[in-house]
Amino acid sequence: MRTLIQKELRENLKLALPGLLIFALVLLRLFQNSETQPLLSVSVLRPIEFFCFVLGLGLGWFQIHNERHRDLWAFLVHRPLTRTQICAAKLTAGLSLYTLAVGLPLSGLVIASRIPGEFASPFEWEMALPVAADFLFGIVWYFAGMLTGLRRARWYASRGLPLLAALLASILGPIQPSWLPGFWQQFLVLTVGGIILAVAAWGAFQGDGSHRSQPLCSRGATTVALAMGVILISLVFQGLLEVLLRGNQAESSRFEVSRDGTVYEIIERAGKAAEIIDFAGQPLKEPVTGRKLNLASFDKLVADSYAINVDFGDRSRLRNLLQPSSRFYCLWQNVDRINWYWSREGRLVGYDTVTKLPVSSIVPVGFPAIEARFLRPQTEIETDADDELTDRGAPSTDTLATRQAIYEVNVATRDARRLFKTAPDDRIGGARSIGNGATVVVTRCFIEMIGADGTVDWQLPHAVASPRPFWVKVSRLDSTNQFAVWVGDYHPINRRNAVGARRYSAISFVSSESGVKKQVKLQPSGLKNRQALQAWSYRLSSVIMPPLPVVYQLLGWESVPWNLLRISFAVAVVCAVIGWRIGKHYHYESGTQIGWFVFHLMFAFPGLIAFLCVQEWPARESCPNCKKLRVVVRAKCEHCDAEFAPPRRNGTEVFEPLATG
Amino acid sequence: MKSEYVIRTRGLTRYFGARPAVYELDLEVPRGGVFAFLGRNGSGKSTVIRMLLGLLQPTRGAGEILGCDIRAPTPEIRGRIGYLTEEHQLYRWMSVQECERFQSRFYPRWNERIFRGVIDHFGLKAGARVKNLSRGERAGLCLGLTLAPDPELLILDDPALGLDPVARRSLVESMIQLTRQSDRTIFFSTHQLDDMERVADYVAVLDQGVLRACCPLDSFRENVRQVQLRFSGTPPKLPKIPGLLQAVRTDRAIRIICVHYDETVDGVLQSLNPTELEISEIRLEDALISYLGRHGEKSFILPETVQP
Amino acid sequence: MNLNITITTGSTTPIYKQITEQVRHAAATGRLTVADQLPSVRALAEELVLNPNTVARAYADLAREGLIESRPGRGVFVIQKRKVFRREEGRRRLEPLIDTLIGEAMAMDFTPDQLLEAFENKLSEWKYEEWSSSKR
Repeated sequence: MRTLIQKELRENLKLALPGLLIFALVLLRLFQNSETQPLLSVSVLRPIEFFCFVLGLGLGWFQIHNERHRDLWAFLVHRPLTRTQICAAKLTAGLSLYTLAVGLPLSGLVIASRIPGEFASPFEWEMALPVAADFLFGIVWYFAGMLTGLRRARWYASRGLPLLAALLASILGPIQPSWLPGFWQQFLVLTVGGIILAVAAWGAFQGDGSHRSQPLCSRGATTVALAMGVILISLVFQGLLEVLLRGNQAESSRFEVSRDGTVYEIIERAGKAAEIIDFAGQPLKEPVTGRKLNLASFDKLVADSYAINVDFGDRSRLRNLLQPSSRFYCLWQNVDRINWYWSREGRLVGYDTVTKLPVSSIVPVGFPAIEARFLRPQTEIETDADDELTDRGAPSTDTLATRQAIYEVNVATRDARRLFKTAPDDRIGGARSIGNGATVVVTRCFIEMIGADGTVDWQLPHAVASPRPFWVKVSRLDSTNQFAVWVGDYHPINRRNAVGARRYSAISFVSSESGVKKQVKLQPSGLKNRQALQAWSYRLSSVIMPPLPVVYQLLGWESVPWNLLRISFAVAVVCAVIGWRIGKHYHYESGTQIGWFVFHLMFAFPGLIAFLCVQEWPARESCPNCKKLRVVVRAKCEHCDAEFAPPRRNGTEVFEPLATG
Repeated sequence: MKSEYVIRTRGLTRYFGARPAVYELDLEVPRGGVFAFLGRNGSGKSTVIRMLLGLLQPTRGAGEILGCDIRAPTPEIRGRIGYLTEEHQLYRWMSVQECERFQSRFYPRWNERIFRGVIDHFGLKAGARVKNLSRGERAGLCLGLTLAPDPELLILDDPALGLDPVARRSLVESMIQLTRQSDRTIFFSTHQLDDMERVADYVAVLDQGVLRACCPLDSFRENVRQVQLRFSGTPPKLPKIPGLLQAVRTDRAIRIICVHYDETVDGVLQSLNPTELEISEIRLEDALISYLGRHGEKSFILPETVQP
Repeated sequence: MNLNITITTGSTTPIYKQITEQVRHAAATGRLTVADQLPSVRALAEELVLNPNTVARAYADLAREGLIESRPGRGVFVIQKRKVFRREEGRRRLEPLIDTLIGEAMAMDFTPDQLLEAFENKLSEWKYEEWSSSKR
């Protein structure tokens, strides 16, 4: 087997070495051009993903493509080795080359990123995990490429399905459900996907590309992989359909409050001007001309608002999916050429942008250690894709919260002064300074505003006791000390930072002097189609997607409405029945029938398509004895137990015993 | 105790779609000797060979090769079988020497002398790359790689395809060399009837997936006869003759090629009252062509040309 | 020994018969005499590029006729032809050949005298008198 590995290495080096060189050069270039930590920079991670994808897929497919000729494949496998040994030799060589071509440059990148004085931001070894995930991601594509090359598929289009399965695994990876924090979900999905594809590829080796002759586990893995590919197609199809149908009917609604305290609903429809209506349903008109106000002019009337993400959980949630660095730190302020980062340990660290070395750190003091960490700031200086700083940062004097207190932090003097303390049994979920020295604090019991001296200006009791994160927004109105406090309902999508997805259910108008003045419930009224379309899209997805609650979980819907699950199960049963009928048509063994029935119940529509792709339909001929159609695979007829007719003799046969010995 | 048959199949069938490429094949290849496997293109010979080697799964039926089930060949059995394909495919980037080094590591019984012998016979240089070899040279290299492990059973799928006469002759000579050991068997499919006539002990004929002959080569020859019937007038209509392969009518004669010429057939033909009945042997090529070609009667009675 | 056997593939005559006929012809024309050694089965097979079984069959037929004999450990030798065939059987084998000869001659418009003359010339060429007298 060592010979085989050597041969594979030699044969595929011509792909791996150029890949290594190109990748190393590209990484070098990216590293040199990178202002921020490259391991967490999107403009570095995307090319890394691309290279891992190309090299993994290329190596896997190329290793099979080398023996694409039937007789060369026969030359390879006709030797005193088992197929598994041959497969193992190929995998060893291929993965070694992949590790060389991809792992070596990536290791170099990780080590180089660690060098102190390279980048003005914190460093943890865990930051290498996205890159490690990309490495693993390439291996999944390696197996997908191998399987695509090996599989003799009847429908040529279904040859590409394993690739789509790998794509699905790569997409599902970065999506984070709430119940699995951290990187482990990504690694788990990639590992599971990789194992399924690897077993399927090994099985394809065993069967020389045909399906029937494979062992059971690899047949199952192949079918699951194809089903995953079909799931991806279904998702894309559903998305396209929605865009098509909803395209000119897309509408969204949001609320804004004007500086004089009036609440308006803004309904935006594709292709039409935005409508701004008040609670009575009347469109907002310009006072002078009487024409309807357009959005640009309206924006000048909107009160300044400040949003607060409230999270009572133990860890600060990942805020921005598109920014890998936000998992570890966020850039809070840049003062005197020092970048101040909030790191996830809960303290502020400053890095000199010139020397790129850490300068100092600020921690809250005076409390039991377990509480001595700052919560994630509500404001940060975000970098966009071009690694330029777009300043949406903090005002010059700013406050940071811990679980129990509010601190005023001055980074220039590196000083943290405690401003306010909650009641001992209360906890802070989020706080934000809203200018003029005021800070809004959201605790379990109250939403309150603290002045610059630490006294409570106003307090609003609220009833949200959800342990899940939610949003609170405060708008400053023109009248002195009047504020509009928006409270958001919990919606899974609100976990992200998408402004448009935040939904608020009520506004309370408060003032420092008189407390709560009035409350307004927010319900989108102007939308006509939204409910119908949403329900329609949910129903469509429950028809074409399998009834696995996991899938819904992974897509971010955590609780599935029962009526959708019902549709899904109904479709699954229909698919199972169809599968059963087809099996009966071709006279499958009863064990096979039951297996497929269970599979269809689990995988529904994608499973049925995968079943049709994967099965090799035996021909049927009429039995010479009973004249009914019987499958050609079995020696005995399933109806009358007769054998097939012997070959027709026409009298010209010459058969004679052959002398032996 | 080695069994007397190296290959046995029972009801071996393979369908491609709805069409049976091989149908209910019952074949037994005895140990020792050279077994030729004939048939037209597309008659299923390569399919049979691939099924025997475990490269293709049968639709139904069973087979045994060197005592091992063909649906589950073991590595040990594969080590005792040499397989030469018609395309003589090798890794194009390897040199002759690298091919030898690659292949020899897998077989403990690698015989360097045999390899050298074949390579020298075909005139190959150690450093030549496969991609620069001609087809005949590649065939020689493949043959060397296949023969050097000293296989018990050598399976050749149309080995002479595309070879020039010198290479073909070298191939046949190598096969004869192999017969020096009495327990070595050669099973090959071919269209080269001359070479087959030289070298084959037994012959099997596959016609559209169905086995229609399996016998010693001499028996096949002896069983196919040409009978020339001459008549004084127009030849009468030919009655049904069992074993008729071909009948050609001309103005005054019928030429019949048939199998199993016995007294019954003789009687039937005599009853037509020919002026002359002559039985002769025919060439092997003609026998096979009429065996595998379209059967039946052909008429070559030309109409009288009318002189103006 | 100047035995020169050539075989033709694709002929109506099987190869083993070609060998036996040529050996018989050689023995009859004197190119092979008694006690001459023939090449071994394997040697002849490899020289003619043939399956040894074919050569073996030819030799077996010749041995059955009594023309050659295989001595183990020594080789294959031409021996005295034994009168294996009885007269009638010999005549039965001969008649079709005479038919062919006469038929061909008629087709070529030979008169019987011309045919007889050609026949006698051939007989003397073959040294038939000497050959048959040496047998008695």
